[in-house]
Amino acid sequence: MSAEIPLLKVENFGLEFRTRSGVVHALEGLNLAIRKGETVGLVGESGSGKSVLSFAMLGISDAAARVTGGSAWFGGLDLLKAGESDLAEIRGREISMIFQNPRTALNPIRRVGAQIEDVLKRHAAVRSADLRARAVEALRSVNIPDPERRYAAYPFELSGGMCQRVMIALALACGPALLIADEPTTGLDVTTQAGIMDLIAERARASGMATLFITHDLALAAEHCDRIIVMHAGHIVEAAPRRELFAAPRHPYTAQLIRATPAAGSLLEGLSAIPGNLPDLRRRDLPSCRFRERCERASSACDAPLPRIDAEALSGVACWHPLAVVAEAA
Amino acid sequence: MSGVLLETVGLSRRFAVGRRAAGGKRASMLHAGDDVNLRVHAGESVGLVGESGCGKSTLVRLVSRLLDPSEGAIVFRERDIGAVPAAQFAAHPERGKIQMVFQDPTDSLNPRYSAADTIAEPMRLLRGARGDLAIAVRALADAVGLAPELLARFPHQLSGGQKARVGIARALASEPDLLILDEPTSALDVSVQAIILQLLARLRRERGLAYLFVSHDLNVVRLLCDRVVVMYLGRVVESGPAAEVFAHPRHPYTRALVSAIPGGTANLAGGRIRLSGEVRSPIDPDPAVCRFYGRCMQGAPRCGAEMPLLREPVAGHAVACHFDR
Repeated sequence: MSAEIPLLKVENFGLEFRTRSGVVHALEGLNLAIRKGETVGLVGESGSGKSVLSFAMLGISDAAARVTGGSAWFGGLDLLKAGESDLAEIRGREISMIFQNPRTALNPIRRVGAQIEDVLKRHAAVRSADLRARAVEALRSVNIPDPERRYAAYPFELSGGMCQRVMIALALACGPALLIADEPTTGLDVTTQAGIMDLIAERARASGMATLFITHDLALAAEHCDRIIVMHAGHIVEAAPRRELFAAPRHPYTAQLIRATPAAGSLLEGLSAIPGNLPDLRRRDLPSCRFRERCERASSACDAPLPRIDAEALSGVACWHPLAVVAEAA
Repeated sequence: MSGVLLETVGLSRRFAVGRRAAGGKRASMLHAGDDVNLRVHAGESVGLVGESGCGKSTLVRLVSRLLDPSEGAIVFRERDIGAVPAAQFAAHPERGKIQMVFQDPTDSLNPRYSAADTIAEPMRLLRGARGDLAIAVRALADAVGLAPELLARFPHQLSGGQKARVGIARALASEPDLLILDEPTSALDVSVQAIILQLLARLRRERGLAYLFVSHDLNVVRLLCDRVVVMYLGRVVESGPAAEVFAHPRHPYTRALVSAIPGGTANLAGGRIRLSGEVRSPIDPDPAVCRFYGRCMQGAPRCGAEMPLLREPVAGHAVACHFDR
């Protein structure tokens, strides 16, 4: 598996925003790789840079964003240096995205069937006579009941879960190699959430699609991802296969995140909050480890440049004082 | 457990939807709450769960007397407050005894009020306090763990966790007996969620408060509630001790709900129950059909001919299903 050339390989990626109140050092030195068919969870608190990373991969960053370095190879193309016309070919066909809020991401004044046809017209060689059938088929494939009737519905006529299914149908219409799902189930009920996650997993399995699943919900990532990457304040602090991460987290932040998340069987007294806040990313004197000021294990050794996790490594930790690898109780 | 603090008896709320037909025909009615019997004892924490659209918010708005019921009674501290029109309840003596903590700590604070103003407002309005309230405000800020130097700040100068604390302090300012918490931590990051949950548990213990806790996050409900009430399309389908309902859910909908809780590997043992089929319409529902029929994995012809009523097969644990034995 590791000998394979990854589908997406991001190396030493950095990005900043120029704002009136100073330069925000949003992302720094990111290394990560996603292989064909793999589901990778990107987990972190709000403000950790999860969404910023995914927008940059699609070339839809805010106008104030500036890439400070690095590369993001997808096939033979560096997404960070590609021109708009190349990116436009890739978006929706090779890489597509499910956005957090389907109600705002869908066009409110276009019927959902027509929105799917737009994607097919742009990216897939579909004869116009077949468009409607293909759009209905796309709606059917995401388990929307009565797709012929729903084809003519406007987003406001559909429930939140149904809108999210339409978003998934849109994203998967052209059979992308990589799906970026940005909090696809936030705000949905647990029963609907489970249905949506199953649907994404089924489609991924059927077509060998890779998924980058962005979430703040560690428990959800635990259930649906092969591998998990933890972000904190624009850094990747840990990467590990799911079981390894939960059995033996190595970065102090990951360990605290797990302790703070209520799970089945946890007790209220057993939960502990993570002290402090994310550092202000506008600071000029950001420490080399951005978790340092919240960390109980910090020492002067942490002043050295942060150890980086190799992009293709299956697991790794960006810390000078990682927690010991404990033997897993099988 | 001490006496009953809040009790709803046959509480229903219907909303007229669509256009009234020309021939004098009645408008269609959306049944948001249907024959809900709910009981909260003094000092008890009751969780209210169910998917969006199941009537949780309607029930909360009925109990907090922002909405008038179509039928039924709301008995609070042995007085029927359901009969008081919502518009007049603001001046009712029980107003201050039921308070709410809202979902979004940012949207629910007045951006032009400092934290101290926000906390002092209910003291003036509901308890008739006059003059300098600085000492009382400080004591309350202290109780919710808000540093005194933050009291002069405005919402935009506070973090999410700090705003949540201001919202809780405001709710406590009128010395309520019942606190309604509407997804109080869903807008917070996990790193602060834990501490707010612990704060809520401590305040309840110290002040003998009763909680009606509305949440999507069943892992959170399990931590904070003594009892859980599960709603589905306007009706209560199951209620019972939290530990019992989560460990041995009896209604098929509750079973699906519990099996869908993301919890790592802990709850994968029984496998997840997948619901198929469509949610029934809450508009003019057939009173003889179980609301879960069509989505239920156990559905049988009887479910389409007779509405199952809440029964208590085990004392304290009620279920509304024909197939519960």
